[in-house]
Amino acid sequence: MMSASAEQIMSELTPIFREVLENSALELSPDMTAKDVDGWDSFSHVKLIAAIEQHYRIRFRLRDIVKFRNVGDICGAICRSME
Amino acid sequence: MLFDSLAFLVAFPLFCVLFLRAPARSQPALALAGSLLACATFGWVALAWLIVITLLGFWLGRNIGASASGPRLAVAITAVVAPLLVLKYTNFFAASLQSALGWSGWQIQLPRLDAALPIGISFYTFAVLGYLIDVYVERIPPESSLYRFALFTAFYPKFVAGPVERGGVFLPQIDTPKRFDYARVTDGMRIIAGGLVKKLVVADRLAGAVNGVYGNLAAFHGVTLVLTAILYMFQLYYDFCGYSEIAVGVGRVLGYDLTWNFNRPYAARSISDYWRRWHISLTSWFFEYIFAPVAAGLRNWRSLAVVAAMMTTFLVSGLWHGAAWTFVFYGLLHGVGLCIDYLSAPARKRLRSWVPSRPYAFVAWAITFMFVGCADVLFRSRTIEQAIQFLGSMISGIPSDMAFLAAHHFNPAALKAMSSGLPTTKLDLVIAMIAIGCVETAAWIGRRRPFREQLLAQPVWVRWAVYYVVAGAILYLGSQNTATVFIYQQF
Repeated sequence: MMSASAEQIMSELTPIFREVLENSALELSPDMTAKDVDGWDSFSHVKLIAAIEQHYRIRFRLRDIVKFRNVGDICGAICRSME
Repeated sequence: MLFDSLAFLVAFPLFCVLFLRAPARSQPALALAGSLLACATFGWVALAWLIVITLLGFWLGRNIGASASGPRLAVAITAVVAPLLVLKYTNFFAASLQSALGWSGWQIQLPRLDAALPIGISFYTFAVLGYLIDVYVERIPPESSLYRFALFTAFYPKFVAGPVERGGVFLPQIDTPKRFDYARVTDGMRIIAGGLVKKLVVADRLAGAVNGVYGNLAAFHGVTLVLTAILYMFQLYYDFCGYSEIAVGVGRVLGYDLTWNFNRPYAARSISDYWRRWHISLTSWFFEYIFAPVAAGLRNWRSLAVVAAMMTTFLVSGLWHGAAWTFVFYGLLHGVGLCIDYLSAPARKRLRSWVPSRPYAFVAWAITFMFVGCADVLFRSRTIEQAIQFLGSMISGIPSDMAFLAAHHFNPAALKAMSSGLPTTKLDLVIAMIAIGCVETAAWIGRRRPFREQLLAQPVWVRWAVYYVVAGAILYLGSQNTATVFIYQQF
């Protein structure tokens, strides 16, 4: 069960993912990994992170970025950055 | 003691009986003792370096786990990688520096390090580096047991040439009781048999032709060199894939799951696709521990971050393979290929919507295959000059050879006349071709579900016919080979 803020972040992340991965039908879920999404590879991941940071005006720690395993991890890092 | 040695064929079944019947709590210690004994057959120096890196990795892992910090990780990485750097690259850097100084008019003689590269060091050093980074980013906890950690670095099936396993994947398997499981053991044996066919029937058979051409390069040109380049692609692939499959099979018989290293790499339709299929354990290691942090660190550069990270990753990958300029350029060439692949992705996506899918797929496959073949010439050549001579003679000779083939209406006899110049027997070439055809067909059939699993659903006479043919080929053709080594064990 996601908290309200996590759900809000997820809904904000959806258009960012759709734009970067050029997939207008993409629906995100917390346990979604790069393997589940066509076009989400090492290359597009860099663009995704940069786009998310720009949107939220935050800067992830390198240590957090290399640990991201799924969408939920990215949401968690955004939540922590905004606290 | 290599996988294709008589010593291994005798020792492995005996060890299996002992290991799988032993009490569960003593199995990790038994696996470690067996692995260290097997590693010791490569010499005491090789064993000593393994022990040094293991102790260092264990202690540094605990240290980082107790208090993680960037500088601490940097020191740990430097300490672990230093022996590899010194032993593998000192002479290369000394010779390169000496040449550079010589061109500038400074004639000096730099000392050389007289030490052989300990077997397996490139593989277990990278396994330990990955473990330390994983502990640092808290992907896994630091290992608290020295003998468990030692089994992670020394586990014999992966010691000589990988797969490069992750701590998070291998360590949790150690304490699981390993019992004799008929399905698992026979599956492992089928994988081993597949690996032996690749190594003994194909790779060793092609080695003669390839070595003969490279040993007397001036005598060959044109289509003969094209054929040699293709033969080397299959020699390299079947040699290393064969080794990797034997490693996975041996691991499976003993109850351990190791990473599957290859997935039909020559079916790739782009360079990035190729690297998702070739030496998967090492490529994923490079992408996770070099590409990802470099690209993430430079992420504000957007596309340029990917390009910079890619070139860095493949420069390191090239150097990992060997301390020579041929490997540096091999890495850089693949880096450039991947950058072009990445930067042209939007244009290719548009092109795909205009061109029919089959012709597009064929052209994409052909370009990828030729690119990999040319890069492999660098991989095989001793020097840059030799690689240039190979590619130059190959390209310059193609027009006259094609004119000859066209004059003979491309009939098989004309092509045969060209291949007859290869320094190998016709029989060896035919056997290798038939074996490659069979193996690749089996791999194509098994692209969704492994062929060996599909084979189990066949009538008993079909299964046993396949087993007898495979066993016969391994024993008869393998016994005819002169002593060879696995190509990747030198790295």
